[in-house]
This record gives sequence, structure tokens and C-alpha cells, in this order.
Amino acid sequence: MKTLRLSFPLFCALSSYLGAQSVELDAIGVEASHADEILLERKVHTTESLAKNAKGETLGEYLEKEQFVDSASYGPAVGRPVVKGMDGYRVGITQGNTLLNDLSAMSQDHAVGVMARASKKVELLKGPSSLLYGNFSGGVIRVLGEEHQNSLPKKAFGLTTNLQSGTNGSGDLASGTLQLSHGDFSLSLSSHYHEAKNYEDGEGVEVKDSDTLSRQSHLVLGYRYDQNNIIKLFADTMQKEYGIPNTTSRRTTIDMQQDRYGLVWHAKEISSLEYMQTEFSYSDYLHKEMEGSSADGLFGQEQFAFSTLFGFDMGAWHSDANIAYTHSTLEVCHEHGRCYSFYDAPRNPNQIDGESLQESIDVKGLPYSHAHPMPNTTEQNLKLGLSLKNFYDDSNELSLALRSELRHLEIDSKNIQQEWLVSQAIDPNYYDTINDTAFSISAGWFSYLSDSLSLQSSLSYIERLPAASELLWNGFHHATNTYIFGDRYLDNESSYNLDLELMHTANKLTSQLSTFYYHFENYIYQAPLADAQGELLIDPFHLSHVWGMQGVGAKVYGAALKESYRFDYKQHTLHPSITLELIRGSLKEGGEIPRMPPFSATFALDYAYNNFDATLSFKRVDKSRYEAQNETSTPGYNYLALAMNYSYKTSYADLKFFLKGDNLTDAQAYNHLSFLKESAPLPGRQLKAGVGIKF
Amino acid sequence: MQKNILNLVAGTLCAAFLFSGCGSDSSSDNNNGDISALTVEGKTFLFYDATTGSQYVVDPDSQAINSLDTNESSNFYMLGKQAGSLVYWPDETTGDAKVIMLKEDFSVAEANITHEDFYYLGHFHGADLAAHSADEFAPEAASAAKLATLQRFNTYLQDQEQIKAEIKEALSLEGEQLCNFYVQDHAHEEDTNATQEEAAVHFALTQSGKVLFYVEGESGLEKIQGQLAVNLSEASTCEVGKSGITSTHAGVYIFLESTQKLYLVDSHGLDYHEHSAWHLDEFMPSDFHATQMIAFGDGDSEHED
Repeated sequence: MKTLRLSFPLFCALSSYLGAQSVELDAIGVEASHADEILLERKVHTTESLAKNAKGETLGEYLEKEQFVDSASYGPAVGRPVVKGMDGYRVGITQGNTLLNDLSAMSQDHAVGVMARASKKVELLKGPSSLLYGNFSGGVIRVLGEEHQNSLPKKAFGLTTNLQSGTNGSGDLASGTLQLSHGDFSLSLSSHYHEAKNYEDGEGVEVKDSDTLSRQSHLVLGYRYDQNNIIKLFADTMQKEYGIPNTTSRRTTIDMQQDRYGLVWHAKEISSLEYMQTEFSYSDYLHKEMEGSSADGLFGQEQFAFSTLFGFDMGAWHSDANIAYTHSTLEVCHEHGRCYSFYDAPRNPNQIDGESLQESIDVKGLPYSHAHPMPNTTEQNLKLGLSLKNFYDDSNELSLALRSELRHLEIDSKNIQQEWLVSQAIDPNYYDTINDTAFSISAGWFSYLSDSLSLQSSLSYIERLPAASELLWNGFHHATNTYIFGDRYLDNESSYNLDLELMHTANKLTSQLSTFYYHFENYIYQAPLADAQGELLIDPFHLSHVWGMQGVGAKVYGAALKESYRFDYKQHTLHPSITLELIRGSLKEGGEIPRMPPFSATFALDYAYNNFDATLSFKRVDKSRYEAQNETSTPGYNYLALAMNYSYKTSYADLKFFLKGDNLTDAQAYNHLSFLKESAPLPGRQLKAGVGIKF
Repeated sequence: MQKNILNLVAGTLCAAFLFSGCGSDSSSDNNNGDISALTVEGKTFLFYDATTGSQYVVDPDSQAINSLDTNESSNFYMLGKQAGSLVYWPDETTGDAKVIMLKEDFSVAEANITHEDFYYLGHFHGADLAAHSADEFAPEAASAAKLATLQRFNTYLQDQEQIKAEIKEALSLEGEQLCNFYVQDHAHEEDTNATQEEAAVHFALTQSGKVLFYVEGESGLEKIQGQLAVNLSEASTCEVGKSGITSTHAGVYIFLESTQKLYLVDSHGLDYHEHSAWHLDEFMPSDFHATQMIAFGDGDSEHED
């Protein structure tokens, strides 16, 4: 342990620097086991390692074995990570240094715009480190591809393929990556395909429209200009077609497409800069929502992004800075049977603007609308992140981070039908351009309190700009079967976040206690609306409940305790662990925050012997104990999983075989975080087998 | 019963659209649009341009658009004739739906209808839409059944005139003028157990392009409480005789000549609203300008919100 302690500043410095640059940890000889035993603000996982124990193919499922991470599923195609009970816009997902151009944070039925398997690495960042990339109370998840590696592939030729097939909706997966490198040039081409049919739940009932089809291809061309400069061009295309297992009689499907192109320039030792990673990217995102054969919804977002990340020293402080600019245009169509393409709503000079909306206000008292639910928007963001680290001594590291975001949000009502416009009489400023800013600050302290006890803590003030949809949505939301009123004048979401983690290591027993307490001055969420008599409001057009976007005081807090032990006998390694996780969120005005992860306890047993390794895990997910107003309860369940891997090397190729079983007891399990928990319980028993070949 | 028959009628109207027996015809015309955009089920539309006499039958279920203008000998043929006016008639006695092309100068308020007051009477003949010429209803040539048909139609028109007068009176209280109307047929005013929501809804299309909703109350027609008026998109006018309203599962389809749009106004909650709208340019031949519309069939019954 002493050795590790002495190397701590070096390790932190390197991990910070190399993490930012996405260099493999193996490259600096830091063993994974050591990294596991250090409380890190930045955790880096290879996609390959995450896939080993993932029960599905979404990013949420890849990460849900991480502490305080859950997956907000909406059927098997959608699984957005929820961190510490923070969902949607409170968790940032980036590709490299750029916020992912998808709409997964907007709505629970929108899939994340990247196949988890198509990435090379995934980083989880919290505390001060996360402010480099975003101001999210739930932290940042950074998805990295080959273009984010600051070196060319070492081998002249490399080919990796993975084939997998499974039962009960696991589907078939084929994945391949070709890498060529010659002199100062490289090529990396990967393609991934996953198709799954409907699955059956633990009671053997087929969950209709739970099928999914995902395809993603990724091309990276690398060129080394000199020892200090590498340029990588990339192109990426992704398609995802999936059913929404809701209760409508007609099949609901989403057809999503995302194309990305860009350039990443890796440089080092430029003047006083240690390194620099500059990215330009353009991406085009489109998804279509179908109800039977009726094209009911269309969402499109184009994004141009520039960012530059660089590191430098200022006296005793090591600094990383990220300057980013994004320009994105969002177009929205939501009209029954009409959304095959975007279109401008016609204007008739003889028709009165907002006549129907005004009548809604006059008759119903609220501006119920049956138009496109929000206007088109164009958003420009300038983002500045600065992270400072000071290795005070062998045992202590101080970190400080600042982040500022400036937004210029233009609102274009050309898609809104004339009779549903917010007229001058209703609100003369509704479609005015919004210029706003958000500022966040975070301080962290890592310390070895003794040879066996380490502490990581951070205190942050996080401000988040309300998303355009939180400000401007006014309409029915199919995904949640609710009518939602945005609030054009919402203040920034703001919270004070305290994270505290203690780790104690005694011989081979490691104990880790993690706690957090997030105090929200302004927590933006959708609250059910009621009339003066307390009766819940009903949307006159769809008979659904009415929710209003509100900023309220709230607190989210939790604790996790993990005990792990390591047995070593000759070449056998046994690593049992038990983890308990508790999270709760409540509103200042009383009541609970909806869809908070239920309490859970997990027992895991990792075993390794030569080329064989296996993980047996048993997770007990408690029933939901603290439900929000109108939220239904969710029963608890047990979840047993087993994953076995065997690797074998030949002179031509490395072979890996795996066998995996999820929900082995066929338990009827419901995800409390899912809006579709009743209509789409988790899959029953699934068995998967596959092979990986690496040449 | 009537609904079942209408369903059958709509369901059997197919792409071939063969006309038979009593003077029928069929032909196809290449439209410039894409009928797949018209996501309507269980409904067959007849669009008429009173200026030219041109008529098209549109069947979204079979993705077919058929011109009625190609066969001069067809009883449907209206090109070159004086303008007419389409009337949809659910004949409760026979249980089928009929369409009558009235002559424009006919007024039910002035006289009973005779064979000289209309051009054709169309109905489904087996699986096919067929038309009788007005001459077949001349007293000297007509069978007793045909004369009885005219008599029933006359009664229907007079009933409609009474309803029209009631709606006009109700609209006048709103400062609106009637352009067209439709009364739901699945509930009846005499049903004393019906609540306001269950009573037959009177859809009143105003000359300003709005739809207002009434039900029979103790003192005549009353607006449905809390129901918003529907301002049809792009519409600011509706000229009498240049529109069409027809029922569907949970509301009505409305056609306006002024906008050349077909609107679906329905309710799957508390309030009626404009659910969808299609511009005729999207699926009709580009040189066709409809002035009237009627339709057969119940319409989509699998509708989601």
C-alpha cells in the first residue's frame, strides 16, 4: 500500500492527463486492480470489459453495475444512464469533448444516439473533473472512439470480430473492427449490428413491440504529421429502429438515424501546453415516431461543434481547460399522420394568430394546445471549463473546477399552426430570443488519511440551463401519456452537491462507503397539476394527466457500502463482494421525486483461473418505498446472473468464448425507473453465447 | 345496423371500383400526389368540382383515386352540365347510404323533389357503386319503389331543413353564420337517458371557418359545456355550398373549398379538436379544384390519440 501511496501524485497526474487524452491505462502500467482501489473522479472502462457483464446493449445497461448508476429503460432499445437518481438533462453524455447530439435527455422514449458497443471506452466523471465537459449534477459520461485516442494503432493489421446469439429477446449481434496502420497513416473501420425480437417477461408473457434493430458503422482515418501532432478524421452512421412496448393498440415504433463527421487533432508540447485535443464535428440526428402506419412525430437536430481541450501547469497547479462552441438547430413535428418531413405551418392573413390557444385560456383557464408541442429552436452555446489540481503532498490532492456556459437561444414559431401560436396578446415575449448563462464551481479533496484509509470528497455548486423543451414544450407527450406545460421563464436549475467517499483497506478486505447529499435550490421537474379543489387536471384532448414544468426546492441523497475480499490461491482468484445502495429524493414542499432507484443489495463473486473467469451476481432490488404523488409502486425482485469467459490463444488469433445468463430464476421484474414498467417488465431468463476473435 | 352496412360498403369499395347494373362506369386517373399521405381508414370520399363538373372517388384503403369523368354514358357523368350539389343520404329504410346530385337551383323549402331536380342517385349495388339517372325516377317510368325512394329522400331533406334552422338560430347567438352542419347518428335526441356527452352532437361549420358543437337541450340546441370551438387551420371563410362534412368514428371529416383541405375533427378525450388535416394537393390531380365532398363508410375505428 505504501508503494501505491507514494506513487499517488504521479498516478493522479498521469490519470488526469492521460484520461483527458484517453490513453489506455495499460500503457502506463497501472494495474486495473489498483485503479479499482483508488477513489477516482474519473473512471475509465473499456467497452469490452463493460460488455462482459452487461445484460443488454444500451449504454445504461453497460454502466448499471457501476455504483449509483441505473438504467432508465423504455423497452430494451432504450436505456439512458441514471446517476445518483439524476436522469435526463441532469446527466451529460459526450462523445469525446462534445455533448452527444441526440434527444435522449428530452424524453424517456428517445434512445441514446450511440451504440454502447460501438465505442472504444466509456468514462464516468464526477465532481470537479466533470466540469471540464459539462455542468451536470449527475456527472458526465464520456464515450470515446478511436478518433479520441492520441496515438495510431500499434499493429499494422488488426481484425476483431464478435458474434453473439441469445434467447428470449437477447437477439443476435455481429460486430467487427478492422485496423490498419502503415507509417504515419492508419485506418479503423468498425461495424456493429444487433437485432432482437420481442422478449417474454418472467411470467412467460410476450412483451409486444419490444423488438429492436441497431446498426452503427464508424470510420477513422489517422495521419501523424510529426511526433507531436496526429489528425484523425471520422465518419459515423447509426440507425436504430425499435418498438415502444406501450399499451396502445397500434404498434408504436421509432426510427432513428444519426450521422456524424468530424476531425480530431491531437497535439502535445505546444509552447507551454502539455497537450491539446481539438475537435470539429457535424452531426445530423433525426427520429421518426410512427403509430401504426401514421407518422405522428418527427424530431431533427443538426449540430456543429468545436471544442479544444488542453493542459498546462500554473505553478504548483496542473490545469486542464476545455473551450467549446456548439450550434444546434432543433426541428419538431408532432401532428397525427403528417410528420413525414418538417414543414412550415401555413399562414392566412385573415386568420387570427393564436385564436384557438386564446380560447383554451378563456374556456379552460390554461393554454391547452393541439399543435406541434414546441417551436423550432436554434441554440448557440459557448462553454468554458477549467479544472485545477494541486498535489499538496504525497497524501493530499486538491482540485478546483470552474465552468461557465453562455447560451443564445432563438425561437422560431414557423412550425406552429397559426391558430395555436402564442399571440402577442397572450405573451408578447414568448418567442423572443433568450440569452442566458450558467456558472458552476467545484472543489475536491483527495487524501490518504492513513495507510489504510483514504477519502475523496467534493463540494460543488452546479447550475444548469433549462433545456429548450423544458422552457417551450406545450402539448401532449405520447411517451409518458401526459400533457406537459413547459415554463418559458424557468430559472436555471441549481444545486449544492456534497460527495464523500471513504475507503478502508485491511489486508485483502476493502470497505468503501460512498455518500452524497445534493441540495437543489431549484430542481426542474414535471409536477402534476391540480385545480383549486385539489382535483388533478385532465388534458381535454387526450384525457391524460397534466404536468407542469416547475423549479422547486429538493434534496437527493444516498449512500452505498461495498465490502469486497480477495482470495488468492495459486492461480485461482476469488473476489466476493457485497454492495448496498440507498437513494432517496424528496421535494422541499413535501412529497417524493418520482422514479428514484429503489434500494438494492448485490452479492457478486468474481472468479479467475488462468484463461477462465466468471462472475456470479445476485441482486435484490427492493420494492419502491418512496413514491411520488400519483406514482405507482413497484414490487421488489431478485436477479441472478452468471457470466463465464474463456480465452484461448493460437498462433493466428486470440479466441474468446463466453456464456452468459441473465435473470436465471425467471423472476418477474419491473424497473421502477421506467415509464413503461407495467407494460414492459424486464425480460425473463435470457441465455447468450458468443465468440470473439482477434487477429 | 346502418353502421354495419356502411362498414360493409366502405370495405368492399376496392381499387377496381367497377360500376355495374344501373349505369356504372370505372376508370383510373393518374394523380400527381401520393394518396398514402391520406392516412384514413374505412372511408371513401367523393370530391366534386361544381365549376367543371369533374368528380373523383378517393379510397384510401385501397390507395385508389378514380375519375368519374371518362365515360359520357355513365349516369355519374357531370362534365358540361349545369352545376349540381351533392347530398349524402343515409337511407334508414333500406339501410344503405346514398348520394344524390341535386341541381343547384333546387330548393327543398319551395317544393318537393322530383326527377327534374337532380342528376343522379348513387348507391352501392352489391360491392360496387352505381348510379341511377334522374330519368329513371320520372313518374311515367318509375316503379313504385323508386317513387317511394324519392318520397323518403324528400322527407329526409325536410328534416335536415328543420335541423338547419335550429342550428342557425343557435349560431346567431354566437354572432356566427352557418355554412354546413352534420348531426351524429349514433345517439338520438329522444333518448331521454342520454347525458349531454352521449346525446347526438351537432357539428356546426360556420362561415368564418370554425366548428361549434351543440347538443339538444331543454330549450333547444345548447353548446357543449366547456367545449372549445375548433378554428380550422388556414380557414377564415366557408362559402355555403362549398364544403362537406361526413362522420367518422369519433368525429367528422370536413372539407373546405376555401383551403382545399380535408380536416379530421374528432375527440378522443373531452374536447373535439382538429386532429389532422390534408391538403388535396397532396393526393389529388393537380388540375382538380374540389368544391364539395361527401363520403361513405364509418371511418377509422382503431384510432389512437
